[in-house]
Amino acid sequence: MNFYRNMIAIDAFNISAILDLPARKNIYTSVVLIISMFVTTNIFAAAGDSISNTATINYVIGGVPGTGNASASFLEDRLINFSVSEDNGSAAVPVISDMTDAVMQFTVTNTGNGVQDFLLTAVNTAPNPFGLPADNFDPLTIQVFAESGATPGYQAVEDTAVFIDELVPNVPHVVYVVADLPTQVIDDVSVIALIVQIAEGGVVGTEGLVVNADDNGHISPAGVFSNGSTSVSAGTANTIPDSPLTMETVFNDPAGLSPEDVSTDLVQDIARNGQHADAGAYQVMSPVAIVKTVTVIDPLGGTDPYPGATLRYQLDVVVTGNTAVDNLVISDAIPANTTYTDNSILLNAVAQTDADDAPVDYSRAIDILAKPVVSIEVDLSQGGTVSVAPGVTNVIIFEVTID
Amino acid sequence: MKNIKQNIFKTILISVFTLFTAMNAYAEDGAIRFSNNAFKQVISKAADGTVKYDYVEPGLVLPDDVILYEIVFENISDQEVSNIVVNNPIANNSKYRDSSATGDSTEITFSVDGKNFAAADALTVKDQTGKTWKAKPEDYTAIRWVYKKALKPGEKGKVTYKTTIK
Repeated sequence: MNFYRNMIAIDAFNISAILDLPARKNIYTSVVLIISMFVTTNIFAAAGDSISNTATINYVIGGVPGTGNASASFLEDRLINFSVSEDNGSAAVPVISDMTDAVMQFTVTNTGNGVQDFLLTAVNTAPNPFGLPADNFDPLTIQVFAESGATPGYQAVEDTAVFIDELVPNVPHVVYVVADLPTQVIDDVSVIALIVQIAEGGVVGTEGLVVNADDNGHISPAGVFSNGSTSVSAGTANTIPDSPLTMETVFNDPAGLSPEDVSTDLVQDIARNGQHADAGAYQVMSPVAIVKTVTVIDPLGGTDPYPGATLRYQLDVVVTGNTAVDNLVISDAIPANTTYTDNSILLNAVAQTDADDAPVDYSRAIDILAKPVVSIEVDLSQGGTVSVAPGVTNVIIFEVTID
Repeated sequence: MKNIKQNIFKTILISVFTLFTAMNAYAEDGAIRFSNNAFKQVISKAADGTVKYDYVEPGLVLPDDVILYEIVFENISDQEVSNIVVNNPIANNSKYRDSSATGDSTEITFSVDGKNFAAADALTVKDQTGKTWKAKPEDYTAIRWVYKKALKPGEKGKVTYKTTIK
């Protein structure tokens, strides 16, 4: 059956064929309408488009011009393909114990030829894609949200969509896995896989129905998506004969790269199942980052570290993550063969006393009375009354002289 | 459920088309039997490394597939036919493949606007700044074949070209 052939073999004497024409045109029009309804989900992309081509011929016979034309048309079928990648490069996302809303960012790109919705879920998985330490804890809660497009980065108020809506081909879309973490110790690791499932596009703002089977016998496993609100069953394998006049759906999604890149059946994602995944890891780190620098000031105004020269130490202290830290006390030992310079402590350019005299200030030089001073101490939490917010840099400066 | 519905619908659709397979055919003139067929190129590699090209019905067509169009004109009259010109706009969702147009005894020209035709080397496009560039194959919107001979009764001519699906 050569549906796609439109051979013209009708000559001027074939009266019956000419007479038939109007009726046939009507039928053709109504069938085209049915096709149009069928492919409305993909009006912004190539899938389902009729690819139509009409050749024309002009010629002269017996001094009289003649023309003819012939068409060939077929439907472009729907390719399902997409990529999922964790965005923190080749390292775990640093988090802190008891963190809320620990964000792991992913990017989903539709590399098929239709506008599609994508269902999202994140699961605990293993092993650690970045090597050691091994996965040893699970978050208390894991949620997944799609970027709204309003403000880059996860915004709890804005980024509330639980699926990716109407993703056109070749436009990346950011997705956030958002987890609340239990009490853990430094270097504990939790490995998470984001699993993305193809779904129908077509209606803006509405979560599309899952596409859990293609037309070549491939199926998706059952799964729970959209932060628990959408349960889908496994697909039923079916095989639709390829036809130039119907849009077949073809799963062409790749397999998960590594054992931790699982599909919703919790085994390594296989190719052509309408799902794709990538894994990342949370790793518990110290919530406080300190950068220490030293400046040498010699008595002649140079920078030579000889006896009598001053060493000015600067500690830049910043709380990482998104959780404020309580009881943050910074202390630093006075190096050997140096002597603390009395009253040299500065906190954010404000002079501090050496005495243990809170609440005048919350800094002190330990053993300032007995001498030598063995260390300095700055209580950024001011006796437990202040939480130190993340992202703010506190600058501590103190000086010693070389003996 | 969705899939079941789709399947039923597709089955109905196929049936409808089966009934009216010939509906696209329409008469233009009696002297030339003119046909335009599309085939999908399927490349297979044998164990000995030889590559085989097959051209099949475009049942399953996805992006990057290559389509061969074969346009045949046959003189079915009892007189000689002359001044034969075949025009073919490039189909939607399709890019012309470089150097793919063929046709014995034809002069082949291309167009980027559907009006002005020129040899591939002479074809230009303008960018947004008005600068002129040599047209790339994917810029072509139409192909024209001018048949340089007369077609005797019973004789056939054939022209072909290939596109890549976007």
